[in-house]
Amino acid sequence: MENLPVEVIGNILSHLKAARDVVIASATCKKWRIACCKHLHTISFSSNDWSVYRDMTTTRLEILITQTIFQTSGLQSLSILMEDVDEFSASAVIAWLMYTRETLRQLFYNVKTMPNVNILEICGRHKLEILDLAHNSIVGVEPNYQRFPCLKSLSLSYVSISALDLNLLVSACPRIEVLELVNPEIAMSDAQVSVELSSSTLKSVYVEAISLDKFILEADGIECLHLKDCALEDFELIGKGTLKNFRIDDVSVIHLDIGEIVENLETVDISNFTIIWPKFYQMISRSSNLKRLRLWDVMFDDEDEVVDLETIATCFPHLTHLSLSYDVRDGVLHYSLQGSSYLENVVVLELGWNVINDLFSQWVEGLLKRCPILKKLVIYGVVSEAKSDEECKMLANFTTSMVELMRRYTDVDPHFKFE
Amino acid sequence: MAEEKSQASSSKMLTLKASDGVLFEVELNIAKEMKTVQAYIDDCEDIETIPIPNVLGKHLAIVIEYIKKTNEEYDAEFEKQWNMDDLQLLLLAANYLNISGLQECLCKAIAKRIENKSPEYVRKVFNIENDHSPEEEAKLRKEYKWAFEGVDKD
Repeated sequence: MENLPVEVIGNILSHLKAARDVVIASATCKKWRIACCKHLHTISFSSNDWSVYRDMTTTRLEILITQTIFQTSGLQSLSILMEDVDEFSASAVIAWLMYTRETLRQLFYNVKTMPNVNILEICGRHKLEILDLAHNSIVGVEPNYQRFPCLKSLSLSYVSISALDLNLLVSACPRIEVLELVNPEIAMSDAQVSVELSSSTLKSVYVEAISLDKFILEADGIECLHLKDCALEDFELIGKGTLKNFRIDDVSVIHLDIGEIVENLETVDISNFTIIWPKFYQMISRSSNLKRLRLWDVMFDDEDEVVDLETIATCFPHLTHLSLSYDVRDGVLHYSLQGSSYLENVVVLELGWNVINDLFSQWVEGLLKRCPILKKLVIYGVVSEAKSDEECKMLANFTTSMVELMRRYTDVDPHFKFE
Repeated sequence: MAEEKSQASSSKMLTLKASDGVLFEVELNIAKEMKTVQAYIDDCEDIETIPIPNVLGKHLAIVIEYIKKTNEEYDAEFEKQWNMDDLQLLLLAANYLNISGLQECLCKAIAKRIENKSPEYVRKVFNIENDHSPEEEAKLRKEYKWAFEGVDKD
């Protein structure tokens, strides 16, 4: 196929992405070599792509990365993701970043640099749209001088940064839409560990493994907020009620405030959390547009509290997906199923148990009755390795009752997931 | 006002004539996805039949169907139906007609098929003639020794 234009070949090589594959393909003929040198816009050096990288010395890796990058021109997307490398030398990293400075739009880099390189200072800022950094330190952000006018997505994992610098960095990105913080090491100047971020363009925020006294997020346009594995005393979202997607997973927080206006909420997903029902109810009861609700492995602050279907049916008439997994105890089973309102729009029901018992099948049945247009039922169960006779019997009984139940609900597609 | 306009333009039909003479009647908004065709229309407003000299009827049909149906699911399944020759001809067509979505989809598909392969395999697949001299070839292989280690026998 000599007819393919050299730019198109460059595009194919860019989709090939993995450096080793690109080098091999470019060795086929002169035209492909030129395509690699002049029309390659994306390249990736990733230990996931090729296991041989893991056997190479760090110096050898630095040399081959330098050699390969320096043969290209106009590189737009550079990924250097090496899991087993302890650190790259500062001079090598600086060389890579300086070489690609004018054209770089995406940088993915996860190796510690020795001595530490001020990546924000050196990498191309003017066209950068995606910055994904891990295992590096960020110091001395100067928003007047360092601006990232095109940056849309910022991801920092295991990055050491001060609360002030984080705040300044976000404000240096006038178009930022996505922010991801994973296990940051937030250096604090005073006793209270608190982070304050403000951006009117942020749409999606993901925070994992952070431990703070206070986290204040001011984001007038936010749509998705996801907190995972965090320990916070005080979390406050200040916005204009634009939140659509709210997820909390394994978070401990004493004061949680997502604002007064919750009418735009479409998905609420809470897992591994202790819910104070009255407060929670107050928070989401006005979310009449809610489409998906998931309360998984949740516990209630007050033991007598329970998620009652009547409340769910009346507060969320547009609900299509309902997922519930919590301890269904004898006293609360009937209370949770009381009332007669239907969940008119629920098409997918996911129910889970931690400890299998007879009550669970009763609960499943009770819920099925209330979902007139249900299409899919997924049962999640935890099965212990060493199964006692008692447990085996329970499982058998459960299976029997499920089969009988499904015979009566032939429109529903059942699925089982055990772990 | 905007709605009327789009209704009017979507009902207008255009004829595309492939290199082997096969004619395709398409709606204007479909044809506009081909930037080359769009440019043609911009230049000569009253045109009704646009010649597409570089693309066979067989491939133009596939391209038009892609434009109509493209979405994540369709794209994922799309490339599986074609052999390497067709993929390349479709890519040439998408390139000539300037349809960026289809170009990306096809480049991605072709790249997938040459992942982890030797230069000889890639040459075979693309019908490439190795125009490196033996010295140049040896130099390349030496320079990029690291990449040529442990190449699979395909």
